[in-house]
Amino acid sequence: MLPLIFQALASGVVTGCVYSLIALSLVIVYKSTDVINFAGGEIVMIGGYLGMFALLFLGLPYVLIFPFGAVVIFALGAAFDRVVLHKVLGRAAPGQSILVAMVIATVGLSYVLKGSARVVPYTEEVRRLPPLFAGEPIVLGPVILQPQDVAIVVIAVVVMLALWGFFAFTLTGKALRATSQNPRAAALVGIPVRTMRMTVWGIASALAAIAGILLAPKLLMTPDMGVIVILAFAAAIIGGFTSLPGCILGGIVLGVIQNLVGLFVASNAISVAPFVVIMLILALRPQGLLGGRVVAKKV
Amino acid sequence: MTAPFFSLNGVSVRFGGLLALQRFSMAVAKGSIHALIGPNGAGKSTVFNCVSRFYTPSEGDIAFEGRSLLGVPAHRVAGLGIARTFQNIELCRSLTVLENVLIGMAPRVRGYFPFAPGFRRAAIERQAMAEAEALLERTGLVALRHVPAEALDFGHQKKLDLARALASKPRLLLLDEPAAGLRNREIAALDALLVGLAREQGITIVLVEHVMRLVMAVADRITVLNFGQKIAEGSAAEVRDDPNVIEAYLGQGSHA
Amino acid sequence: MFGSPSLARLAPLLLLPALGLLLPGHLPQYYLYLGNVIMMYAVLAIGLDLLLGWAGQFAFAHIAFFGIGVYGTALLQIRLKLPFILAMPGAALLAGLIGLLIAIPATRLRAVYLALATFAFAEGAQWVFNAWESMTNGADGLRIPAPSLFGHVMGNDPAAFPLVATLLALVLAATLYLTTSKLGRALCAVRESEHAAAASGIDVRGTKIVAFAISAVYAGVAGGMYTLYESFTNPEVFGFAQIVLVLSMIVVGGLGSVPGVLIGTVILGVLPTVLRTTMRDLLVWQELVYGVILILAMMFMPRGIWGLVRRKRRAVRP
Repeated sequence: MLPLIFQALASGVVTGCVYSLIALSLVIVYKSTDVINFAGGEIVMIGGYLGMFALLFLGLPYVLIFPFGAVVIFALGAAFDRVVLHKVLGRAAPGQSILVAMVIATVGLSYVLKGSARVVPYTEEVRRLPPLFAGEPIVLGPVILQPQDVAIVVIAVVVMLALWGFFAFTLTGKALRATSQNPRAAALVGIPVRTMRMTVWGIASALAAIAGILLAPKLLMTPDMGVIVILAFAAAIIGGFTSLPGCILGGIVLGVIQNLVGLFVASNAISVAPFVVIMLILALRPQGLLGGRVVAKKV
Repeated sequence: MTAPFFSLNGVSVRFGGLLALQRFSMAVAKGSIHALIGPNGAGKSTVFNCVSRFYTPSEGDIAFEGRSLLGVPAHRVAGLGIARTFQNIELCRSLTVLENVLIGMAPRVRGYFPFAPGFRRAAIERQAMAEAEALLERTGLVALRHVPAEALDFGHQKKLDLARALASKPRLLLLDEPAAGLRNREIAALDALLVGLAREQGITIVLVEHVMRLVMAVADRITVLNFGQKIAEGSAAEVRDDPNVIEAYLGQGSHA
Repeated sequence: MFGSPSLARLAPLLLLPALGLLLPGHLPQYYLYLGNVIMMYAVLAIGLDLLLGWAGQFAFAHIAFFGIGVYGTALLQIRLKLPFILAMPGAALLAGLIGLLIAIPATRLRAVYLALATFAFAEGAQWVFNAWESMTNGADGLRIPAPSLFGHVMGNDPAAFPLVATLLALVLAATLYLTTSKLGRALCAVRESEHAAAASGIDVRGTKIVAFAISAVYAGVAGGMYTLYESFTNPEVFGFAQIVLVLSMIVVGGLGSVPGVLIGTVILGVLPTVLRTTMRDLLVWQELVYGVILILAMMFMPRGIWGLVRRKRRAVRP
């Protein structure tokens, strides 16, 4: 039994890293624009298909697929903000209705992406990408890891470090943090708030795309694979929907929970685990595991 | 001595590391107009937000007619007889002027449960409607009653914010910069309106304001705040001559 | 908009049951089916609009409550042998009660959590409809018994049509009372400015909870209406696609207005059926079309068709 548990933990960490990336994508959008991106899962899906397309039809090597997918999907996300959300923001009635209008727009985006993938005949067949790395499995005591699992963790960690470095050290990153904390003050000191919003949407979409390419060799690709976003929502909620380290922790916790539920409860209970986690956290510790006290907004 | 009509006693409010209010006390006499002034960021709106129960002080007490407000949830404050306006005008923007006033009457309209048909409900609603019309007549908004709030110009929005506050028939009215952005003629009208409310209808008014001309003209008593602390209190003449006030406030370029 | 609904505004609603009795003899079955579907969706959409358009709260659980209404009405008849006239209100109340239980914790915090909690609840509920096989018969679907009312057996479109129309009329009357009442004003105030609402003596959180529960009851009633003319259901019916359809109806017609929602329901209720009979292979394009509709509506007519109509009328009047 014990080796099984170790194996479940290890697999949980691997998939958890990917959930963390998607959760980060959702949270940076929420933090800086107050929008919950319900198209997050579909951006993951499109990213996965784009990676597949680049590998199989453009013949790009694996190393280049990630930057390729990230750049293309960055443009998609930024364009969505610039073309759609900017207009919605300008048109919507004030108050709560703005949030409602923005969220409906992201639901619309999710359907546009899912529908676009669906009308391409190529997606009718369920596919999966060849593994990132072929080779002998790596044996670590009781745990057996595929080389591509190791690659997933490494790539995810590199991306997270890059994101952290971006926010901590670059001028744009600092400006983004300032904008998300107080847009009005940021505008006053001359930060181009609109460009910042676009950048955030771009970065968040690129993160989701990378997650999609990482998932493509592990999961079956279908236009419906965007439902995976529920796991990322759960991960983000574990982090209080504001804390970036909380997202990473949340993703890994969720990956592990899923595997343990599969091992100890039942395999058809795996899919319900995230809902239970979301409901429990919201009811018992809504600020998240790492979240501090909620500070009131200025009237 | 009897308890004051309305008072804050040693109220402190903390946002993270920032002390927005520091052991602040003030007592407001019934029927008076009491101005609360100070530079931007001094904590004036924080005082109102504590009274509205949007913020909870970390220490101290707020008392109205002898009872503490701290145990009262935000939506019951209006029912006790305290109404307020907002610095950044909070209106239901897509609703009409009349509807906004009806919303302001909420604490006085009974019959929350909407599915009880019959004459009582109709009568209650008819009376509310009549009272709202009367109030609009008094505030000079009656011709605009079916115009959505967002279509009003700034001066009329301010008036509507005030009308909404008055709709609950308050005994204590908190006004957050009612004169900001108004033209001279409108300020003169506001002056007359405030004095009328206090002297004729006996409504006690706490006034946060930067327009010194208005403050000096109407206030019975003035409290001066700076950096969350009270630095002076007294009549208009006393405050005007107080060196602390001149230093902190009037010194940096009088608004009047 | 506010003030008690006058008899003049309530009277036209009597047309619905009248038409309900009159039409079945004269229209082909297919049109009656379409009519039933649209009237059911009207109740579903108005219920969601109370929460979304009136109270301005984003929630995804509506289809789950609809499912509770459908399964509840069917199972109360099958298991407890209740007559339809008790089973449907029972299921609607159950939906409202569960709505209340979700709303109480979910409204305690930031607005986003209501969206997330209800999203999770909707997905979880669909999982339960699938997994609780002893009750719902799982993915194979559940046969809905033909309900009977005072000896009148329903279960096909012509027979159900009068009752569906009557239920819609009752729901519209209730909505008219609700939206013109103090609660209706409170909903608008909460949507537009929580601070102004609270300072005006409106219990912001309480209003949200009540809105959520009432909206769930509407969805439960719509579920009951569904069992009148459909004889079969399965968990597929209660997926995310449904919420997007209902959302599109509201958004196209006009958030926060009953006439707008009715317009949107008719357009989006009739359109797919018309297109499906004229063009084949349309199903695959459906998602793309709904997505584009949602985005374009939010960009160019945030208050829907009804909003455009109203603006025109206002512009014409001096």
